[in-house]
Amino acid sequence: MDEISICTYVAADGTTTVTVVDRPDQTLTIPPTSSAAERDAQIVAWVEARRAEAGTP
Amino acid sequence: MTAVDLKISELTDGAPMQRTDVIAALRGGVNVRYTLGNLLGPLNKLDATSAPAANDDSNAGFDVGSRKFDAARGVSFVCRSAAVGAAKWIRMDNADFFGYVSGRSYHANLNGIIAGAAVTANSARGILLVAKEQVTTRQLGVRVSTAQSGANIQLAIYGSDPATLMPTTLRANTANMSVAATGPVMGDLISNVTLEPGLYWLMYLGDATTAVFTAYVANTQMAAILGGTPAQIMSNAATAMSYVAWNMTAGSWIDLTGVAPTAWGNSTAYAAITFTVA
Repeated sequence: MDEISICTYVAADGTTTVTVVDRPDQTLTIPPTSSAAERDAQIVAWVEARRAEAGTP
Repeated sequence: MTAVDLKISELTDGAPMQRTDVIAALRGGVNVRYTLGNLLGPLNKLDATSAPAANDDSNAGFDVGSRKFDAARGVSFVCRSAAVGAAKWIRMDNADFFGYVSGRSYHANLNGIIAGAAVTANSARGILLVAKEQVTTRQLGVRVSTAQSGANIQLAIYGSDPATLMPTTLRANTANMSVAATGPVMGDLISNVTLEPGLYWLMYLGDATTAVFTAYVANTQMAAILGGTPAQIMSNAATAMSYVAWNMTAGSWIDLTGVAPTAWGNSTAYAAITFTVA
């Protein structure tokens, strides 16, 4: 079972980029127009999917 | 025409140089160079734009005791050896600090980090940053240890009052940042900010209520720099005086000049904040 580490970057314009550490091919980008709830729903779903792929609970 | 240096110590019997000595030298067709450095002390370079190097030596006019001020970074050096090609200079301040490296992130202080506690909404929580040299910062960051969806946080840098050491004006802040995933959360400053050497405040502010961030093991740094009441600085709680708080609406930073804090933090309900060098 592989653990994955997540890092979140926020640009000055509010664009959010979520990455799996050491996996630059796995990146989620969310424009700044999303509300906090919309933005975080995407992040949570995306992270859960990445963890499921890696077999991390 | 021959250039020579005349030194008082080289005059006969060590007598002071007389006007006639100079006239005689000039009549002899020599160009007399006599620097103020010979009279007043070693050569100083106070408008430098870089740190001294090995060739800042006696050939360059320096001597033991020469001072060089790197005005680009606000750092001062003194020469301890002017040996040709192997000059040695000592950094006069920050002997335990070795400079910021572009692109790297740094913690605000040297304390270790520890799991924090849930933060409070609409409470700006500040910790101290001592800029050891001039540094341009482009990013601030925290580490989320317990995530919360639907919340926004921001991070900021404030200046400090030289008399009270307390925060003054907002210098730079991030956009809204998500704390929906655990791990590092790094936010670019809306505008990079160049900090001169000195004291600054790093601030956390958000509407999160259950998110937890890593904090510092014990913020003795704050008591050592700010001072406080005996109860504050000699508490046996590891978290005594760990942050200072001001009421503020999330996302709306205000000028803190002269604004009294609402609390002197005595818990880990704050965020250890890192800064990234541009």
